[in-house]
Amino acid sequence: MRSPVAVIGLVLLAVLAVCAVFGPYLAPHDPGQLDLPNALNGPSSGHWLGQDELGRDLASRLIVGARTSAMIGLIVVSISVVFGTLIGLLAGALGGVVDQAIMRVVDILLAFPGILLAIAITGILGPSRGNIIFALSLLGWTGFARLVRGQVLSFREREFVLAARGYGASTGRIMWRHLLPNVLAPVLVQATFGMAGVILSEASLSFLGLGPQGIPTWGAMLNEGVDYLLFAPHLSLVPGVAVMLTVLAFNFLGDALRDRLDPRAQPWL
Amino acid sequence: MIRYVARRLLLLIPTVLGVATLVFFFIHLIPGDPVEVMLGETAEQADKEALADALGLNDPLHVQYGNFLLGLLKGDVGDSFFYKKPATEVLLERLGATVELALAAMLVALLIAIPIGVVAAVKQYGAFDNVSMLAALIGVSMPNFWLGPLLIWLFSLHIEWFPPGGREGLGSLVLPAITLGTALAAILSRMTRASVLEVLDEDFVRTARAKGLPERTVLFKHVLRNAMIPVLTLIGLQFGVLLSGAVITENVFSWPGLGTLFIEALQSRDFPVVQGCVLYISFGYVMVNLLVDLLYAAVDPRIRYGSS
Repeated sequence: MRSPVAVIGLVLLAVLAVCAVFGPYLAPHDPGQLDLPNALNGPSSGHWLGQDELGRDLASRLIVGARTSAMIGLIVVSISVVFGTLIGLLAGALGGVVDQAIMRVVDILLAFPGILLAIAITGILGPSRGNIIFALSLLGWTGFARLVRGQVLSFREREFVLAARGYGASTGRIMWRHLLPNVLAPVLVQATFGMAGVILSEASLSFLGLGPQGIPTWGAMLNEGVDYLLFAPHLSLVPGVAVMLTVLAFNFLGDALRDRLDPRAQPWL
Repeated sequence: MIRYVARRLLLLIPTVLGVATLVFFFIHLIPGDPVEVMLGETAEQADKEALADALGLNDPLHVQYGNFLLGLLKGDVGDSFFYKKPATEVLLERLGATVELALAAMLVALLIAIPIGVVAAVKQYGAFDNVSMLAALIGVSMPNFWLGPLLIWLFSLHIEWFPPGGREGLGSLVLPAITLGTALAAILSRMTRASVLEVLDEDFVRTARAKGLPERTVLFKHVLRNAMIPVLTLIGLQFGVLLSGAVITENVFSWPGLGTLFIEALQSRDFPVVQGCVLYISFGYVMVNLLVDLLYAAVDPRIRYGSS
């Protein structure tokens, strides 16, 4: 991949992955350790991103918070991809009543504004990692189902599928061996953008106080920092930059992948 | 066209019914007793029973569902536990502020996105194109719960141009509108660029140039008119996204719209208001999508013939 934005995206994501996997070992301090006399201190040699309103080390909380964002993003997108691809394959390959019924359900679910429903679900069921994953996966799969169905419809009458049908391949075999490999590329592009969307949604929920409790999350850090905007703007600035760079990295990568896979795209870099 | 409109309106019925059904069952299957929420855990059992009877909560689920649908036909989603009046009334009081914010954000987005998208396409691969599209990607990636506090820090706390929150006068609308409109501006500028580039490649543009028309006429009379159709569609579709995005922005700026009401209702477990917010915003979303489809069909006849 020669695109400079893709390289920047990959480097940023590599940093995120390292923080997510090795976070607790990389953090210079215990992210929960209080140091009230030094609360709201700016960056220093001991605390290179500064300290929050309880004197906790901001850098350590940021590194440990990466795991929450990455894990929720990965789980929600995986559930959405697997479920959405399966449903889309079934709708597209079987057609008829099954297709009509599935697509009607998808249309109804797509009528819900996603983040609003996620806020309602986590607000009512209670803030926890499991509830966030449930809330974001509930609608997350619909986009993948629609994409895969569209792709399958465009492939269904192509020669290689007709040939497979001609030599007696079952619908299941055609779906698994012939259609699935052909729809994976656009699914990969959408999954990359999906990661950006889920991380942003998780941070939004955490910002509203509906995120996982008892562990540092970027959205909650930002929310706590808003009260100290005048005296310690770094409290909001640091987690905000982390969310933005992560989302930007996934968008960079998604753009580059799409440009590479779609010959009609008119890339800008 | 009439047949197309009729068909689209008929298709609306199962979608609206589906949305209402999902919201009803979701609210009724969740843990937590609304009677306990209204009276408190220490209330007498007899009082709880009387209230449950009055609210119809002791009826079988299918009866409750039927009553819910009948109520919905009359625009009634129940009484707010907190405000002690119909939830629809509470929602309507806050709707104006949200629509005002969404329209202002849309205006901000259009003023930024259309000129940038057009110039970026005309100067494709030039410095302006690269920088503006990079800025657009950053704009899409910037969470509005971060951009909002940043704008407050800069324009309210430091140079004191605009108030940091509330809804008093036009000045208080500026920062929330920029916060909510930035991501949309980013999406729209990318779409405008792509759409203009596609039209610039069309035969009729080549013909217009071959006729010797000045470049300005080609761009404004031939290219922009055609390139704006998909952009208009996106604007319509994004209006629904703006309404839900307003939830976060309103909370950052204490803007007294549906978004702040929604979070307040969730915190006080005022289920009829939560239910009403989700229902009405979803219906608004469906209606805007329908309007966009109908407008699109009116502008481009291939669509209504293709789907009939």
